[in-house]
Amino acid sequence: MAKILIVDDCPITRAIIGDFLQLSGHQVAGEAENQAQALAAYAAQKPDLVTLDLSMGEEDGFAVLRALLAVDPKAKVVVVSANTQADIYEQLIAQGARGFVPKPFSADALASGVAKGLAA
Amino acid sequence: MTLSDPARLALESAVAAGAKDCAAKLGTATGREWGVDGVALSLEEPGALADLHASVAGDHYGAHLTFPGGSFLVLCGGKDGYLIASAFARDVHERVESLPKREAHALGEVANIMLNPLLERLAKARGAGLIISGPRTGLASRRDHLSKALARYRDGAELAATFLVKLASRSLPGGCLLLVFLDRDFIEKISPGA
Repeated sequence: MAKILIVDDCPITRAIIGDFLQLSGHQVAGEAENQAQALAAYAAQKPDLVTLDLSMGEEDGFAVLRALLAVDPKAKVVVVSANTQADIYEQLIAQGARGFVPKPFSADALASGVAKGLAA
Repeated sequence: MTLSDPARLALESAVAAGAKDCAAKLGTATGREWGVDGVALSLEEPGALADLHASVAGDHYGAHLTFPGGSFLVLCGGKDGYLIASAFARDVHERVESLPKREAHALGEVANIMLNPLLERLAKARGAGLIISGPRTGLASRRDHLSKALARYRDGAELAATFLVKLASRSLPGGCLLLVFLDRDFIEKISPGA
C-alpha cells in the first residue's frame, strides 16, 4: 500500500481517482486542485507518489511537476491526463515524471500506472 | 481571411478527423454512443455563429478551454448537461451527488477528455505540441458563453477561422455544440502537408 496525493482541478476526477486507488489497496494522502495546495499537501503528508493532472486552472502540470521536484528531487509523480501527444509525454518524462496514465482510465489502468510509477 | 486551398484542406481534414475522435472519447467518458452530425468552417465570424448570437435563454452549460493560438467552446443544454454529468460520474455517484456545480465540473472534465484528441490533430498540423488550459465552465445563455469566448479577440488577437461541430447522441436529444476558434497566427503556421 502506498500513500498517494491526488492533484487535479476537477473534484469528480479526484473522487474517481481516489476510489480507484483505494480499490487497489492504496491510501489517499490528500487532494489538491492547484500548485499551492499540492505543495502544501506534499509537505504535510510526504506521499509516496503524486498523481498529477496536466491541464489545470492557472498553471499547467509542467509547472507543478517542476515545483514538486524542486522541493523533493526524489518525488514520484505520475501524470494523469487526456493529453496523449508524444512530444508532451517525452517532455514530461525528461523533466522527471515517473509515468503517464491517459484519461479516461479504468481502475486497472490507473493501478498499473501507479505501480510502475512507484517502481520507477 | 483567405486560406490557400492546401492549407484549408489540411485544416478541414484535421478538424473533421478530430471531431470523430471527440465523439469517440465522449462516448467512452459518458458510456453513451456519440457521433458527428456536422462540421462547418467559417472564415467570417458572424457566419456560422448567427444562431448562437441570437440565443439568449440562460440555460446552457458552457466549457471554454484555451490553447496557444486558439480555444474551444463546448455548449450543451441544461438537461443534457445533467445527463452528461451523471454519466461521467457514474462510478462515484454517491460521493459527488451533492457537489456544488457538479454539472459544470463534469462538463469541464468531459470537455478536456474529448478535446485533447482534436488538439493533437491541430498540434500535428501546426507542427508543435500543445497543452490545453483548465476549463472555465458555467451556466448561461449561448450568446453569453460565446461573448466570453470571443472576448480575447476584442483585446488584440485576430480570429481567422471558426469551426462549428455538432455532436449527437440518441440518448441526448439536444446533443453538444463544439466551436473551435483559431487565431491568424495559428492558421499561418498550418502545414499544408500535415
